[in-house]
Formats: sequence, C-alpha cells, structure tokens
Amino acid sequence: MFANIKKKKQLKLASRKFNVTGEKITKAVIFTVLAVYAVSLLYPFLWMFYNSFKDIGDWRVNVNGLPTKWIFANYSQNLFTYKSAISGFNIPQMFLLSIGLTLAGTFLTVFFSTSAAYVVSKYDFWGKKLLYSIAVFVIVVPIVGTLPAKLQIMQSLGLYDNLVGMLFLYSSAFGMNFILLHGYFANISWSYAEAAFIDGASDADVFFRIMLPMGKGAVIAVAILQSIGIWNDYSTPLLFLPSMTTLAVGLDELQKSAIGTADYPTLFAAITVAVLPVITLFIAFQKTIIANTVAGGLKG
Amino acid sequence: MTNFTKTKKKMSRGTKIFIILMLAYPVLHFLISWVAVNFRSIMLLFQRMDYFTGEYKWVGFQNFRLFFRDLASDPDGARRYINSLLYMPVTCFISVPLATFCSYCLFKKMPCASVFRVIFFLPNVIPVIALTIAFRLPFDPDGFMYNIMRSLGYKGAFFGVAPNAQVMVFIYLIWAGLGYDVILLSGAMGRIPESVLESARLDGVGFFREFFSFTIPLVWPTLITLNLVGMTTVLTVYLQPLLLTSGKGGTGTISMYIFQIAQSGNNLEKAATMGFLCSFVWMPVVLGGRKFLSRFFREVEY
Repeated sequence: MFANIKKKKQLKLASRKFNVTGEKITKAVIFTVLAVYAVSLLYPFLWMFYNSFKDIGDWRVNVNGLPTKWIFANYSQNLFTYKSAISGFNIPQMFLLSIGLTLAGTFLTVFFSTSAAYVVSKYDFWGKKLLYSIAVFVIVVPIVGTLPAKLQIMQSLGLYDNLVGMLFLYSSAFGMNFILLHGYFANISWSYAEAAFIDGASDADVFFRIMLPMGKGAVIAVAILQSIGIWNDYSTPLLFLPSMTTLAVGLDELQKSAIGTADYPTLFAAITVAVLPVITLFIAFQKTIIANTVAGGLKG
Repeated sequence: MTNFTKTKKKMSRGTKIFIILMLAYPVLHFLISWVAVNFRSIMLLFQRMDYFTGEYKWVGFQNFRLFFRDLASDPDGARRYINSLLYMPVTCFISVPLATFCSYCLFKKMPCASVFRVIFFLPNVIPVIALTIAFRLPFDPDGFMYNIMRSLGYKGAFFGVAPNAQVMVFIYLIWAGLGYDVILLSGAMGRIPESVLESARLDGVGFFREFFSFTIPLVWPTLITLNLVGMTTVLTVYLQPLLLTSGKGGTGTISMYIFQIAQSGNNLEKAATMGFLCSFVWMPVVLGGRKFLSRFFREVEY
C-alpha cells in the first residue's frame, strides 16, 4: 500500500515537473514570437532611417545594407528643394505649418475641454446632465457619412480651406478629453474653492489660480495625447485645408512622387523628420500616455 | 462627494455669467459641428443637386431608390460591402484574441515585458502615413520582406492585385493595431487582484487554465469594448486601405467610398444616403453584439 502511495507521489511530482518544463518551453516560444513582433515594429523605421543617409545611386544598388557613404544632403538640401505640387510648400514649411496647427489646436481643444469639464463637474445648473450625456453620446455613437455635410457647412461658414477653419475643427470640447478631465475635476475637493470664495476670490480666480493648477496632471496628459493626434492627422487637413500642406499630407505626396523619381532617401529623411517629434514626446511621457490611453480606452 | 456647495445657495449673477462664458464656445462648437452637420446630413438624404443651377432640390426618396439600384448594378459595390464586413471577423476573431494572449504573456512576468509594452504602443504615436510606408516598402521588389518571402517560396504579388492586397491590409491592421489592444488589456489584467490568481495557482491551476478560466472572464468587459470597436470598424475604416493601396486591388470600403466622394465634392447626397443606410442597418447589429457578448460572463466588481 505504501509503495502504491509512493508511486502515486512520484507520478504527481513527475507530471508537475513535466508541466513546469512545458510551461517554460511555452514561455520561451511566446517570448521569441513577441521579440520577433517587436523587431518587426522597430526595424522598418531603422531601415528607413539609415537609408535616409544614402544618395539615389547607392539606394538603387543597395536597398537593404548600410550606406556605402553616409551623406546628409537629404536633410540639408533635398528637404528644402522638394516642393508640394499642390501648395508649393517645401518640407520645412510643412513642418512649421504642422507645428503651428498642433500647438494652436492643442491649446484650443484643451482649454475648451477643460473649461467645459470644470463647469459641468463643479457647478449645478440646468442642462448640466444633458451636456455630460452629449459628451458620452459623441464618443459612443459613430455617425458615418456626415463628411459631405460637414464640408458643406464649413464652406457656407467661410471656414473651408483656411487656418481658422482648421482650428475650429480641432477645438472640439466634448468627447474623450472632456470625460477624462471631468473625472479628474470631480475628484478635486471643493473646500479649496470655498476657502478662496471666503477670501473674496471670483469664480474665474478659483478656476485659473486654484483648480487649473491642481488639475495640471490631467490637463498635461490630455494635451500630450491631443498634440500627437493633431500632428499625425492626415484626413482633416487633406479635406479641409487643400491649399496648404501639412507634414502628414506632404509625406503622402512625397511618397507618390518617389515612385516616379525613385528618390526614396529623401522620403525617408522626411519621415524621420515627421516621426522624431512624436517619438521624443512619447519617450519623455510614455507612462502618462499609456496610463491615459488605458483610462480613455475603457469606455465600454 | 460634496462638490456643489455653490449650487446649494442661489447662484450669483457673476457665477451665472462665468458658467455661460465657460460653456459658450463648447456648446456653439457642438451645435455647428455636430447638430448642424447631422441636420444637414439628414436633409441631404432627400435632396439632389441641380447641376445647371448648382442648387439643392427636394427629391423625396429618390436618393434611396438610386442607392438600391446602384447596389444591385455596381460590380465594385458588392466587394466594398464584403471588404467592410470582413473587418469584423479579422478584428474580433484574430486581432483581439491575439492581443489578449500577448497581454496575458506580458502580464505573466515575461522577461522585458515593460520594454515590449512600450514598443508595441509605438504605432499609436507614429503618423499613419509613416506607418503604412514603413509596412509597404519592405514588400516592394528588393525590400527585405520581399526577399524573405521569395526565399520562403512565395512567388505571388503583395499589393495591387485582389485578393492579396486586401489580405495585406488585414495583416497591416493586425500588425499596427495589436499594441493598442495589448495596452488596454494589460491595464485590465493589472487590476485583477493578485490573491485570486494566487489561490488558483495553489490549487494547481496551470498557465493555460489560468488564462481561459480566470483571466478572460475577469477582463471580459474590456474584451467586449474591443470587440465592439472591432464591429464599428466595418463602418469607419478607410485610411489604412487608402494609404496602403490607394484603393486599388479591390480594397475599397464603405467609409473609403464616402471619403472619396467628399474629396471629389460631387454626388454628396449619395455619400450621405450610403452612410445613413449603413449606420441604420449596422448599429443595431453592434448593439445586439454587445448584448450577446454580455451574456457570456457576469461582470465582477474587484
């Protein structure tokens, strides 16, 4: 009988050992797959980066290897000489336009989202619940096919194909930014404001001097996500600002022209210029970006 | 939370003005960019442009009749709808399960898990145009992916011909979209109480059993969200196939067609009708899908 129990124990131990070994093999296989996927995400950009230091001749004969001679002309000359067929902008001009739109658009949308979120979360007034429902509704219900009507409305208001119109489109207050900021302000105690009111502060003083600094973390997080979104935006400027070319739209044009001219190194240099600011921002604020993506993504 | 002290008393005039000033632009913006746009969109359903005068005239249900006529006669139309519908199984049955398993592996203290998470998230911060170029060019002749696939014996085309181009678009979507799902699911898995998984492990629950019997039910609400997002892509995806293939190789979608019509500025009423009818048919399916998925596991508070 004891021999039987011993045998059973040995079998159990052996099966556990097998399970542990099996698990280790599984994990090793999964690790390899994940590593390959990570490399597949990084390598194309590395490939484009080192190819941006080639001249066309080198690129034609040596697509995958490192440059035989590292040249910087694609950055120092070619980005300036290439001109958009539609707007006549060169890459630095597109870069400046994208920077301007990103900064102004981010400021406007963050400011209006913050002001709306603050008032709706902290004051009780008629329509408050309706405004919150609107913000949720705008996120949850996708309306397809409104693009033609939007185009017509923008044209009729004189906001089509100008920077004011673009900033109007970027200055939406309701949506995910509103929800994130509303949640943040709702959790800040109102007693700070009460103390300030007793000292004679106005509502605007409380907002700008007390609540906004206290909600700085959430506001910065929303601003980072928004600026990345505007910087990367392709379809809004393509449709609503056809006479000016942003960097994202310019990359597409440059790509199409590269098919004819084979000047891919200049395209790669332009991609590097477009990607570098967002990668820098991402590296600097990766924890904030990822944490707020998780918070913003769990809306279902 | 007692935040609304200001509200309990009668609001001062200054406070009322402050509220109005703070909300004036956001509300005006919403009225123009959402209410007016949708109202105009509904009007477009019953109007057509007179090409001689350039004015829109009421035509009753003619746009709807034309839509159904084109649906039966347009050879590209059927492919457009099939392609759009295929985004749902690709997202719900390939992309989301793959992301769930990846997240679980990273959650199980895989070496370099945090580095992987950061790298996987990169496609979400890079311009989509740069990302599509980075994906497509290596498959051009002499590109490194082209060479790898040729050495593996694949001799077919990648982009430009149907159905390969559509398959490549799907592969791109999985490749570029996995990171976002992984981040959301990792966040959800990170909130599972350690004690639950600890006791399961003490009971001899293994790697895969823990995944299927504990982790999936506990992150089910997030999985529902991701699946619903996957279902809505049927109506919203256009940029990726447009940038990867310029709409060639039979990669058209409903949304791409609407975008192209808006870009051309002609036949706007057709795009509005198509968008309305597709939303009218598909949104109940999405809501039904949510109800169906909610039945599998009961939401647990933890």
